[in-house]
Amino acid sequence: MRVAHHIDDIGRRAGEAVTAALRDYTDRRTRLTEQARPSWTAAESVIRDRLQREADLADYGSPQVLLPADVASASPHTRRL
Amino acid sequence: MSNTALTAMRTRSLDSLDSFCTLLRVGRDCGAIVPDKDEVRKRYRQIDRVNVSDLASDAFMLAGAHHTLAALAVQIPGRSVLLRNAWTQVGDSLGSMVTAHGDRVDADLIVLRDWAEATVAAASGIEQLLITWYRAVDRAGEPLVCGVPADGAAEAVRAGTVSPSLLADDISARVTLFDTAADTTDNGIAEMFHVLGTATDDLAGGAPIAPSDSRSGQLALAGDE
Repeated sequence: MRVAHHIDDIGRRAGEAVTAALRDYTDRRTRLTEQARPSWTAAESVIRDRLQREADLADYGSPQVLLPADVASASPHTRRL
Repeated sequence: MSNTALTAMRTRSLDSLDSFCTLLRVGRDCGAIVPDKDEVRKRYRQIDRVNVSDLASDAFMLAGAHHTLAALAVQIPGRSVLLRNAWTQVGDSLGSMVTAHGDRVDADLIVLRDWAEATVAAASGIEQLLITWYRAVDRAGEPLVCGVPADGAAEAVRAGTVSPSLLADDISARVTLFDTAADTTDNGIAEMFHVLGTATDDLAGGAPIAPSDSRSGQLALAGDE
């Protein structure tokens, strides 16, 4: 076998091994995603609430705490969907 | 792939490496067995030492040298005929010498061709391997882990929205990917360089010896006769 073919072969085998590792990783994460999906929504909700709370506390220009009780929850930092 | 594109992939993978190192801490907190970030960076640097553009330049130079010499070598038979005609008294002697010289040049050309092809193959193979390596690092450093950013993972665990075992599994998967890709890439590059180095030694050792001065002297003497 010519040296170039030998080197090509080494490179191809190594590349295929890394590609297989990437495929395994994708499969494994897909399974984890399926397991985790119900909790992701809750996690996002918690993070969104935290961000909104921090934004409210840091925002002295919009004193929503002084609003009447029926609209007090209407934070200007709430994400509108 | 252009050198610029490979450089861009490398730059992006460095950001992913930072992200991966951040995730290792999260994984450790969740009970996953993860390597030390210094060890991870060391392995990245080990692979990063390879300068594929320099190797490609060498390959280009060797291929160019082969092309130039091959163009000169095809002129040898014609020169041989001219010499035979010019030196009628020693024509046979001259002819055999030029033929022998042509044979040695042909053998040298084969050596040079094999060497150039091997260097081109190594440069191309290493570049391809680096591309898959950078992709693997990018995937290992994806910033969202179980749907939350790395810096929000601890809070998500405290809030009970993500289980630590799930986080640990996610990060373990990344560690497995990084380890496998680093081992394979590092070994693949080392093996290609080893084969190229051994072949270079063999080819250089097997190359025909250039005519000595004394033989050149014989040619000059033959011409004087």
